[in-house]
Amino acid sequence: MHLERTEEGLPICHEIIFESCTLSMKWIVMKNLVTFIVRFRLLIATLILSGTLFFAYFITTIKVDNDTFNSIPSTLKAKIDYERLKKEFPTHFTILFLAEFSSGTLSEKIDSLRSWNQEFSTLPGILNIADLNSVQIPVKGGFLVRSDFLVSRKNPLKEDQIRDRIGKNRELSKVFISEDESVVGMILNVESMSERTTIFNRIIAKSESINQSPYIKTYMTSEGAAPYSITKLMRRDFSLLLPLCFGLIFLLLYAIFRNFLHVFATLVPIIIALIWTFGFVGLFRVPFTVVLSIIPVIIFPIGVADCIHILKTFSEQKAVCKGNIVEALSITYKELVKPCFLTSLTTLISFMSFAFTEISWTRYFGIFTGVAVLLAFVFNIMILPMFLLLDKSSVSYRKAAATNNGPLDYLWNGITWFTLESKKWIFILPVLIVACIIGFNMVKVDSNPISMLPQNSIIRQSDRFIDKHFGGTRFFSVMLESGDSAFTTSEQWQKVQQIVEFIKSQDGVGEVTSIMPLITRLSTMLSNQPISSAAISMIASTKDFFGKGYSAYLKGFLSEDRHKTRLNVTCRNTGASTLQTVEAIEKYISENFKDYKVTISGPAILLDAMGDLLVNTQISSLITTFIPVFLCMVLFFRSIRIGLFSVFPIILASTFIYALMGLMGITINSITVVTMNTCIGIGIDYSIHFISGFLYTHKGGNRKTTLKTVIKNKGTPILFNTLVVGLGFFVLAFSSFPPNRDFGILVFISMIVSALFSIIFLTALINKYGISINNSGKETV
Amino acid sequence: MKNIALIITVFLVITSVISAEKAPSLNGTWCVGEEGFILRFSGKDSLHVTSSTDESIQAEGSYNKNDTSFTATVKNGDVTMKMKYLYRWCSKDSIKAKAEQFTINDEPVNSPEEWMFMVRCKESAK
Repeated sequence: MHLERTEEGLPICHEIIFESCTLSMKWIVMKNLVTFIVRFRLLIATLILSGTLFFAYFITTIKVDNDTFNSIPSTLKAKIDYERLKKEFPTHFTILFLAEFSSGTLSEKIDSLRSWNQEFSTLPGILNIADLNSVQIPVKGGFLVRSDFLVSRKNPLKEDQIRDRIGKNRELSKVFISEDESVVGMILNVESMSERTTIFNRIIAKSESINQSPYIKTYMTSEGAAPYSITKLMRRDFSLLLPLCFGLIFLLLYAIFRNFLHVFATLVPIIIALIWTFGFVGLFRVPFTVVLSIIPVIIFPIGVADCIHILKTFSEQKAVCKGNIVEALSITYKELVKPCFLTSLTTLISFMSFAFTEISWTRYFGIFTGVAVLLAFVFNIMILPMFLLLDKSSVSYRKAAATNNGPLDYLWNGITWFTLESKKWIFILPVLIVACIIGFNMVKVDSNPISMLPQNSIIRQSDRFIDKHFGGTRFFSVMLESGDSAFTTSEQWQKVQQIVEFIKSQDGVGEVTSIMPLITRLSTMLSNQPISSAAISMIASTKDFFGKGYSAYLKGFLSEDRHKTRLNVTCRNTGASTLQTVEAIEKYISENFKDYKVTISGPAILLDAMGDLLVNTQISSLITTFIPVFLCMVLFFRSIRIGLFSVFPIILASTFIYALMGLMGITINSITVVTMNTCIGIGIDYSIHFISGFLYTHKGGNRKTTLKTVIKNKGTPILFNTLVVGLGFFVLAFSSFPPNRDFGILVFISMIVSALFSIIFLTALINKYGISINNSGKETV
Repeated sequence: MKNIALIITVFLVITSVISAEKAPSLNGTWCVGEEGFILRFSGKDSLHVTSSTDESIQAEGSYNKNDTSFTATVKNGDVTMKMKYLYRWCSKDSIKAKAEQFTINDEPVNSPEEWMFMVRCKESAK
């Protein structure tokens, strides 16, 4: 049955009711829904407002945590081992501060270090500071270990004496001074994690003031440096980009609607959906991360997209229904609620696919973005009628049509010619395939949070500097357990020495820090041997043989019961796999020292494990997105063919984006891992709207003619949608946090590509093979 | 020649007897070098080691001495140190000593070559 239509091809308002039984049922449901919303609008508005206030309160309880290690599952072996290690060898949170001097005498450098030390010592939360003043050095023939031997405060030494002492104790002092004396450093032990931000701020402020000197450049790093920097960048982005995104979308919407009421009607449901979503974040005490901070930038364009379709159709229907808003809304909802629900559902699925990942950042991002998408859909449907009831504008469809499509006719005619007449679209495929093969092989995974920071950030610069001069910033620990006999004999330590030598010989290993240099130094002083029983007796004494300073130092390397010792291994950023190094060490120890039990863990290993998790997350999320999205399409359109057709453009688009990632050198990290699902979740909408448009318009006759109409009718909202969504995401290109920047640019490109591919390939496929569904839901071709 | 040797021997014996008689008692608290170590000699042969800069340093032991050498055994946890020093009284309140033999858990080790000074601690240092 065909509808009677206006000259422009629109159905005549009252005729729709009698189109068919199925359609009239839908019409009745939608009319009832609209009537219900209109009748109970005050109650609904009150409920929504109350809920919004409730959730707004919980937003204030949100806690920020950008520590990537916290996103690693606690059941992961690497994390369990690391926790065990930290329990055996409890260490404070530390910050490494370095200063590079381009001129000045050694004494001047030490004086500078001393004054900074005094300043930092006064900061709240600083437990103690280790530097050249506190290196544990054996003296008096090895019968004493002094911490003020190298740089004595009581009895200031001459420069040559200091140099001589440092030179003789290089193994013990090299952490604090470089061989050419150009770099001096200190390690700050922080009492509690809570003071971390204050301390970082003060140290960075101090660093910046020191850097005013043309002769000094400072560097700092710490296990918590990356989270601190990410949080700082996130706050900046949040305060700058969110208003920018909002402003841009506001302007774009106004440019499209030329009606403030429609702009507000579009934005208010999204704002409410975001308040509810972040209220849930606070309510469930989910830590707020940099990944969650991009949800508003995702939800604004996504939420707006459905509204553009609804409001465009509403404007048309309002003209057709001669200003009867309820009827116009009912027809609009009848046509668009299903595709809008489907677009929201597919977007929801693409984000919810992260609900199964082990990485908590990504999991929460997936869940809460899904919640936001769902809420945005519900609020759109519920709130739009309330605003539109106030719509007194009288924009006729003719005017709207002329405004929207007129200048774009050239574009749609061009696309129509390209896909339907010239068939040149066929040449896109081989080019795409070649580009994808090349790009795919270039995609890399990088789980190091420091790599996510801007190149010019102090942490990133420090990372490069320390990697070059001090053997790297990423580290892991090797914990050796001696079984029955404690580490109190020279034989035991000789074995440890062999293990240390083996680790040092591994590719990618920078430094190995252990108690061995102290044992060697003391043994040489006492017995002229590299390892002597006497030295070991003194070092491994369970009493404070050399005092509490030495005992505190020893705790980092030897357990209380002397059955476990720790070796700290720093890794260079050479690209060598840490996990391969770890496997080699484990194999060496298990083959050569069967009586030792070895546990290897630490941040470097956690990062590698994180890399594996990222790859798994990416693969599983793509599978759990594509299959349900395909099934949704099949179920909703009741056609396998439509299912296949609709996912075809998005498969091509996402493959293209992957290849682009490789070609642009963008790595898969904790942030960019969500790019693909975002592209699929939003990109599939264009297929849905295009296919829905075709099915709604095509009631028999010539497919090509219908396709031409659909390209014109659906092309414009798809183009507006692409512009609004794409530009909304493109705001992230101005982010100061590189992964957000990459994410924004990739999604922006993917929106354009998805829209283009949807129009081109769906037109081509439908033209070639055809699609339609009969009343019984069975496909007919 | 024999007479000269006899005279010297007699002189030495007398000197040593006199010096032995004049040697002050070790008992009391002694501050060692610039490291802040405090040795407390008490009773007949009891020795207690502490530090003025680090209260965690504690050791117990015993000693015996003759006119020129001093032997002490100090135990700190599972480490036993035996030390033999040559010593000389500089005044009734100061002694200089030089290590002659050291063992740690009965293993001989190199001993410090420089002379070490110890003085009776002032009240404030105790």
